[in-house]
Amino acid sequence: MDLTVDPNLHSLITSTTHKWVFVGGKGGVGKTTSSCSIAIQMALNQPNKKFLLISTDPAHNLSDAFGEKFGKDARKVTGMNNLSCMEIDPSAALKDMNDMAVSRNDENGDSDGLGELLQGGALADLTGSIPGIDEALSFMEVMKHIKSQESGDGDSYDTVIFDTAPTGHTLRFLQLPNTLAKLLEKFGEITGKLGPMLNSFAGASNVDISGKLNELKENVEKIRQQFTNPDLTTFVCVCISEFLSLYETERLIQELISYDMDVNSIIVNQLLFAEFDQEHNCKRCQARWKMQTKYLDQIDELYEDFHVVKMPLCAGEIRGLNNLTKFSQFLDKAYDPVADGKVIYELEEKN
Amino acid sequence: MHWVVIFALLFVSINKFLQYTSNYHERWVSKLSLVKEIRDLAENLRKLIKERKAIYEENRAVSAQDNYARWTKNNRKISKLDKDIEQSKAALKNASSKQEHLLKRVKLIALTLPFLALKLLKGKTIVYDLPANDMFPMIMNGILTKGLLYIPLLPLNIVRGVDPNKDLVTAGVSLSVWLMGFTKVIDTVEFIINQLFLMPAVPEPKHEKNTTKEKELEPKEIEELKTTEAELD
Repeated sequence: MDLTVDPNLHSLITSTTHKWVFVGGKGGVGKTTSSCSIAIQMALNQPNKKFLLISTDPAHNLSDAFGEKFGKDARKVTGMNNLSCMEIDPSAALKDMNDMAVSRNDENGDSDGLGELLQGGALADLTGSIPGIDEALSFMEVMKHIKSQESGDGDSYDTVIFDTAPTGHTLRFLQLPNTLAKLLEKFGEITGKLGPMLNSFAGASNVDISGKLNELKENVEKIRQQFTNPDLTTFVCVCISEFLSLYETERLIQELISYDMDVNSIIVNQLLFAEFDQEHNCKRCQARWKMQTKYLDQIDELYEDFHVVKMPLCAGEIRGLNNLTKFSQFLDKAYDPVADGKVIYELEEKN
Repeated sequence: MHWVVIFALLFVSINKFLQYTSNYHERWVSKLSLVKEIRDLAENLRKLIKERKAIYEENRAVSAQDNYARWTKNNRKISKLDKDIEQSKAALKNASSKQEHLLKRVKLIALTLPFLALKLLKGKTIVYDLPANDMFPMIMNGILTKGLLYIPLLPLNIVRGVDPNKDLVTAGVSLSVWLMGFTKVIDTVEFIINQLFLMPAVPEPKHEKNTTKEKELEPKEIEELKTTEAELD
C-alpha cells in the first residue's frame, strides 16, 4: 500500500464535498496568488459548480491580482462563468448598517437627535476602527451565505474560498465561533432571567432580544460544526522556504489543530529550483536555492502526511487571469522544474 | 530545666522547622503518602517534568535553522508535555486535597492548639528569676513576671484599689515574655544570616559625574558682554 501523499492539491481541487477553503499564512508569502490559483483550478475542474473567492484581508489584493475591480457584492471574474470574487469592505458594510438604522428610525417617525446623529454616518465612524471589526464582518458574510444556501435566496455558491489576512487576524476570525458561542451562552443566561426587561429597553421597535440571540446562537453553532468538519472545511497553509515563515506556519498548524480544523496542505512558494535552470543561474540564486533546499528537506520530514506543494518563483508577476491560470496548473499537477521550467518565463506582462 | 520550657522549646523548634522546609512539604507528602494513587500521580508528574527538562536542554543545544525538523518535533513534544504536566498537576492537587486538609487538622491539633494552651495556662510560669526585685521599675517587673496583660489590667487595678504587684514575691521572667524575646532573637539572627550570606549582593549605585562644566568667563569676556548690552539699550 502506497502511503506517500501526493505533492499537489488535486484531491482538494476535484473535491465535491468541500464548502469552505481557507488559504492563509504569513504576510507576503503569496496567499492571494495561491487563493486565486486554487479558486481558478476548482472552477476549471468543476464547471458545473459555482465558486466564490472572498478576501477577508483588510488590505485587499484580489482586484490587483485579477486586474479588475471587485467590491462588496460578488461579481464574476471576466473570462470565467463560475467564479466570482468579493472584497469585504468594513466601512461600506458599516455605512449600509448605518443607512438601515436611519431608515428604520424614519419609519418609526422618530425625528430626535439619534436620527440626526446616524444621518452623519456616526455608527460607521464609531465602529469602523474597532479592532477585530474586519473579522466580525467577514464572519457575518459567512453567516449570510449559510443562510442563503439553506433558504435558497439569492446567489448560492458550492464552495467559498477565503483569501485571509496574515496569520494573527485569521486565527482571531477562526476563534469567533467559539468566542461567540460562549458569549451567547452567558447572554442566554442573562436574558433568561431578565428577558422581558431587556425587551422593554429595546423600546417600541418590538425587538425580541431573546429570540434574536437564540437565532444567532443556532447560526454560530452551525458554522462551528461546519468549520470543524474535515469533509466541509479545510485550511491551506502558504509559506516560503525560510525559517521565519516555516516557524509561523508550524504555529499556525498547531493552532488550527487545537481548533479541530482540518489542515493537510502546505504550499511552499517562491522556490528557485536553481540547479535545474542552467541557462539562468547566478551565484545568488544558487546560494538561496541551497538554503531553500535545506528547509525543503526539513519540511518533507516534518509534514510527511501533508500535501506539500512546491511552487516556483516566476520570472514575472502573476497577475491577470491568464498568468494565474498558467501558474495554478502546478497546484493540480506538481511542478517539474525540467519539463515545466519554461512556463515561468512565459508570463505575460500585465500593465 | 522545667518541663514547660522544654515543651515550649520543642514547639518553637517544630514550627521553625516547618517554616524552613515549607517548599518541600508538597513533595514529601506526595512521596510518603499512604494513598497509592497520590504516590503514582506524583511519580508520574516527576517523570514528565524530568522528560520535559531533558528535551528542553536538547533543543537549546540544537540549531533551529540547521536542524529545523528535529527542533520543531522537540517543540511539539514540549508543548504536549506542558499540557500533560498541567493535567497531572491538577489531578495530583485534586487527589491530595483531602490529605492536605487532614494534615492541616493534625497540625492544628498536635502543634498549634497545644502550644496555645501552654502559653495560656503556663504563661506566667517563671522561667528564671531576676537577681533582685528592684532591678527594674515596678511596672517592668510586673510585665516581666505576669506578661503583657499586666499593662491593660494596671489602670483597672489602680481604679479598684488593688495592688497590681500584690502576689509578686520574686521578680522573674515569665514564659510568655521569655518566648516573645526568644522568637524575636531567632528572627533577628535569621535576618542577619539572610542578609549576610543568602541574599545576592546589591551593587553600589554609581553616581554619574557631571561632565559638562559651566564655562567660567574671563573678565575680558564679561566686559565684552556688558558692552553688547549697552549697545542694545
